[in-house]
Amino acid sequence: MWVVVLRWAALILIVLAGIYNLIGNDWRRIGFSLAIEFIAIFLFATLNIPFSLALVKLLEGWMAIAILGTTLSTLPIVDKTIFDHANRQFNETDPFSPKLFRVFFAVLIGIAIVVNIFFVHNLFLMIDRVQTIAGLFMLGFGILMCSFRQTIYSSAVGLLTFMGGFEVLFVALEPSVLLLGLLAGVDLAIASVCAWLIYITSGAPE
Amino acid sequence: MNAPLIWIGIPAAAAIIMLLVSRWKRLAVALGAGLSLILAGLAWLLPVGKLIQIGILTFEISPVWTILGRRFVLESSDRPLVIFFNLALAFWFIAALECDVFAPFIALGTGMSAILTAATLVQPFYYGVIFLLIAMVLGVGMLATGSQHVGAGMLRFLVFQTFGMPILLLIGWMMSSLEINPTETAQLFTVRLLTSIGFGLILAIFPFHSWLGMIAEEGHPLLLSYTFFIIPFAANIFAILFLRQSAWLKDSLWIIAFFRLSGFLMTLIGGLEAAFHHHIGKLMGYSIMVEIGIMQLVISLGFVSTESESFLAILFPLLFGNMISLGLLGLSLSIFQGSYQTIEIDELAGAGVFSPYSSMAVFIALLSLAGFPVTAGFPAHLIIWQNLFLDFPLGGLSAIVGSLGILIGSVRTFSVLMRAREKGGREGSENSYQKILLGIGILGLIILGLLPQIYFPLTFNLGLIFMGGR
Repeated sequence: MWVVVLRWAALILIVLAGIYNLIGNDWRRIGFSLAIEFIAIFLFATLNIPFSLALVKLLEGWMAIAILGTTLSTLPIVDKTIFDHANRQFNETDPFSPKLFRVFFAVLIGIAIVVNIFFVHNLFLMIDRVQTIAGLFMLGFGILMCSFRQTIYSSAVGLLTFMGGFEVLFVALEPSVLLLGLLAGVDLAIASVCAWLIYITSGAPE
Repeated sequence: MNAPLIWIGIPAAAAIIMLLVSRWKRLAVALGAGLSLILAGLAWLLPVGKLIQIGILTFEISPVWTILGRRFVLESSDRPLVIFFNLALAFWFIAALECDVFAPFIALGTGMSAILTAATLVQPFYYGVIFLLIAMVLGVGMLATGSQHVGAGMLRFLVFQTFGMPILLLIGWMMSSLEINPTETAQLFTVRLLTSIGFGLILAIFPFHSWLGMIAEEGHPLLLSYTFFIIPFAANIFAILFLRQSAWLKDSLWIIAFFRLSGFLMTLIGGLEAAFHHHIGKLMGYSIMVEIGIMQLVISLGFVSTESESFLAILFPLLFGNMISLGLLGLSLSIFQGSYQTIEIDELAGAGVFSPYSSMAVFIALLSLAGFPVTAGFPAHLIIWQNLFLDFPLGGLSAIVGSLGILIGSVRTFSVLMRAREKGGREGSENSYQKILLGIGILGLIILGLLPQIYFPLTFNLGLIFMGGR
């Protein structure tokens, strides 16, 4: 019973945090909601791998967020908004309509998942259905985040979300320690490189 | 002692040491180039899995390295790949000595090479795609550090590669674990579709190719040329190894059609864009598009042919020619970048007067990439064109159009470089070391084009050994 509740709670966390990441502007809150997504990933991982290994997943995700957050917080130009490093401008005043547009796409992703869930579940019968939905939501949100905003931070959050979604699915298919380690390495490498990109484009002295 | 430890573990550890000494650039270059040459030499000389006797000392280099239940296997047949990776690395490191390339390139390049080697050796084979992604993420970091600004090109490169990795990992798992029944059409369709999308993203195939041109405006030319050589090389070799794991997937009409269509489009689009460029870095990017397209066409020929190994082995001489051409192009463009602060074609008008070696090197390197006669790129291109016209004439035509596009681009570039210079412009220069390197490179490309028997049989045989063993 508790397992079922936990699964659904984790799914709801992923959806809410994902939608916030799509429409939010404050990099600290986006980082926080990504951290919540990693808690949900941890909850799903505990269903398939030992608790200690699942904990490693959680810590690795939080470390990736910490790498990004530490970099942003030490830069002189950063305030609470997302800094557009490619165009060197702030996206401070995001109007309402783009947010609505992003939510609309999130809903479309939800519809696509509902329509295709039986097909996907038939392909991967070892994965629990709620876990499959959660993984697909994260994959979709990750793609949307990388597509809607051309900032390094948004891309980093989008990529970590996408990788998180994949890990939610793949951990049920192949719970290998080396694989988990390599995927953790990928997450940390993405976070480190994005932090480095943010740093060198911020104008801060190297 | 085992082979993967020598050719993956040692360079990976050395990369960390080189990072620590990277403030002393000459020392880092000497260490990096020296280590790469030693590793290439060892790969050439040391047999794997056989008893070696040196004096009273007898030992054997085991081909297997086991970590956390997974294995890295480097058989004797894999040594050509290791030789190529390390030779390329040494080649770029030597060129980097007199360029304003930031020193961590040596450490990151060595690390990338070790990780790419691991990508092709790990078992289960589909784990390799994770190593490939880690190497590419390192590549983004390397390019960004040496670049003027980080734009959409680098982000797109990172995003596309990251999106491609999970797809291929999933396909690899499905191939090895599910024992897919070729009559189950729904599963089969999913696997083929995902394989096409995954390789489209990883190999920068149309429509995921846009970063190739965009990134060329953002990165340092020498680092770009290294990235443009090593990533398509490793990704294509990985694609071959990946698809050959499953006969029904490799031989399926879908996959053959995918590689043919992508090769056709890449050569055509790359050639057309190369002909109308305004930036020599972009010209390099579009030339690589054409080369990636040619590799796709070769792979499609190799998969349908009864002499699969011979067809696929032609990639090695092709890549050897590309290695010299791209290294030379990267070196000469970084000299221009250092002197003129730009490689925009209009800004370099008349630069040939002050930098004659660099200008000539750009021209000859581009001719070689186009497969022009009397250059190192010609013999491999000629064989590929001939076979394409026999088996897939449309592909042969597109490959010729691609090469023509590069040729037009190179002639346009050379004519602008040699144009009479207006007074008041910046004047570039080349130092003696750069002149020697450029001179060797230019002569090398021409001599190898005139006397292909020097390198062609050797590289082709290396390709045969590799393709035959895997």
